[in-house]
Amino acid sequence: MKKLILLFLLLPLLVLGQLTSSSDGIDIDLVYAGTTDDANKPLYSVQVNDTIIMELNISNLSQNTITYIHVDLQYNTNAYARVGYEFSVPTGAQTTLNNWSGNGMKWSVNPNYDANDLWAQWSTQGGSYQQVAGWEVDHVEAVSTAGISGVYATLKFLAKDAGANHDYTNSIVLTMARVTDNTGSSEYVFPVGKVRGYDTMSVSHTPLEDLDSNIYVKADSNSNLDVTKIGVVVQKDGSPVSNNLYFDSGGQINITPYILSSTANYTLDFVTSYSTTEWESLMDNVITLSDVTLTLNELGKYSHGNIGNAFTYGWQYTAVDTDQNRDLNPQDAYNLLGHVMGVVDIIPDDGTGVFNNSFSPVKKADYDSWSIYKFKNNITEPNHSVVHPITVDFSQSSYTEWFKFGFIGDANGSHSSAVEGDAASSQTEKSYSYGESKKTDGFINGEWSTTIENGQVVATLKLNSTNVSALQLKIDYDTTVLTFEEVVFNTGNTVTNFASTSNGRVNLGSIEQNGGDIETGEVFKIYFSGDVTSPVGLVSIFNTDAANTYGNRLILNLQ
Amino acid sequence: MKKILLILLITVIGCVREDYSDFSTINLNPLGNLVITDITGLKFEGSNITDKSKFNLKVLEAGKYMIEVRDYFNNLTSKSIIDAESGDNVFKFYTQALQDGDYTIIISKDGSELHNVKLVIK
Repeated sequence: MKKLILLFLLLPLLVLGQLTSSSDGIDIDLVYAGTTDDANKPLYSVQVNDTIIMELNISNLSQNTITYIHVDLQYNTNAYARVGYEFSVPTGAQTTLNNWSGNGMKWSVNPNYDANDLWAQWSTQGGSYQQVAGWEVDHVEAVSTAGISGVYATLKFLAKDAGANHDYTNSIVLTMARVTDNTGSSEYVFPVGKVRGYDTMSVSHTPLEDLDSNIYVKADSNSNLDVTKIGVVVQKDGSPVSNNLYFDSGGQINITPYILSSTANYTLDFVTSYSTTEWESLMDNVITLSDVTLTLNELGKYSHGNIGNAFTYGWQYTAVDTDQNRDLNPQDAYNLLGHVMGVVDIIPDDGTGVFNNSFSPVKKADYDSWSIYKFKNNITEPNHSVVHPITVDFSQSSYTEWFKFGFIGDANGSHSSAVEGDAASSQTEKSYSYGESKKTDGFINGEWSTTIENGQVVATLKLNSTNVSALQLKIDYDTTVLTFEEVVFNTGNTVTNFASTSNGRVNLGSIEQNGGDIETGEVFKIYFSGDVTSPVGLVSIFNTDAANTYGNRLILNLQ
Repeated sequence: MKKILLILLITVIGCVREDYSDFSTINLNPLGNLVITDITGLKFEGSNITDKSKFNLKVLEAGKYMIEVRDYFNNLTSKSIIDAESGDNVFKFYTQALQDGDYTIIISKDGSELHNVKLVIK
């Protein structure tokens, strides 16, 4: 029981650190203050050949004045070389920094007192300096008639590579100190227990490899994607070494602090701050009916006199190769149509989530050069998974891993990164700007309204434009007061219509594959039941999509 | 005879126990804070629109009025047609189908814009 109580009494000390303050004497703190190149560099990031700055900071907790102080600072010369020092003392003070280590000197700690009881270590029996190669001791001394306080000395140490097996524990450490007050008629020596190393008295950091490259991840993304919600986790040898690091608004992440070895294997694992629901909503905007019409057109299955050649880039093939068999065929197009209609899900489910299975980050050079020719000739697809190994060229002062982003099903590139150059567009008849979200074949007009008719809430889309061969609408409704009943289409006799509802969203549309247009007028009427007297806000438009007879996207301008 | 009846009536009323509890259930002002003193106007219950909060559209002319809800980018998000009578018309505003955010509410009739206000929908 006594042991248990003792354990509880000692627990705070064990948890909070082993050093204790002098309380009402002198605390001498060995403070790491950055490197000469970067004052904010954390100690854990210090590399070989960095010069670290160590301060001797005095806190006088007593009523006496410090007129004399010396502190012994011991360091391992294989680990750190002292390369400079300076004092910050009152005007007229005398300072010296002596080193009489000879062939090496190391303090043998007096076991009768705390190691941080710096005056006890020196003044009582039990501790002594021994000749030990590879260790030196600086004697940092100041005398002043005015009080000495704060940072009275700053020392600079060059971090060295002492070899893989070197133990850097207490490579720099306070060993002893003497502090006096000579302002009275006789010298007052701060007694045993009242001159302590606190709250830090040693450095045990093992310097990292001397890697001087600044390392970045950059992204060229489509304006329809909020790149600040995309990020990476840096993994070293399969274990994460960073939190989620998100792209800034300029599409950049600085991963320099996490790449600390030239021999380890690093990967970037792409992540998102979108919730699953938000990502699914984004995908509802990515894969729409105009992706289907463009794909059908590419395959010559969009019977408006088209003969294919609607795609320009390899990524379009990869995006809509829904069965991933490297053979784009009508089944892929109909899978895509089924996805849009809500009866097929082309996003694979490997258990890792919808983001991992629908988002395709690709290294920029690969993205810009992935052609239809390469797709059709079974050349290995570039990595477009969410995990990317990286190999940093440390000979460069600045190294960037550059990515572009694609999406499954995004045939028209509404949300994918633009393809630059012509390396990927060797097989095309039609100039098409993949990934330029504003690139469309024009605008069409429609009218939208919600009203109450015969006790039902009725939402109506009136199409006012001609030459429209595909039209899709997703609307959200208030499920707490409404029940979806049906959609009545008036689009024409040869038009394929579809409608489904899930989680308060109705997905409906029409596609004309037989060479005609969708009729104008009140093409969609969506009926809901519910005990309401006001239709205001009950139904809202989530997104719209449309395509012309070429299969190209049209912007539906609703009034 | 009339005088006798009047005296009896006063006597009966005077003897009735003073119980005003029913008065508390009578809303003397059914519009609450939606009262519009001008001859026309638009007034919402609060500074933000919350689900099923009410608004009052006061109009001179009965008929069909269009209520458009446009998002920050001026995209049409919702458009409703309501039948309004001359005078006050209190309706509920449903927000469950709308994303939270800044919206412009436009009320028009026969293509003429009557009100255009910016509000937060929560």
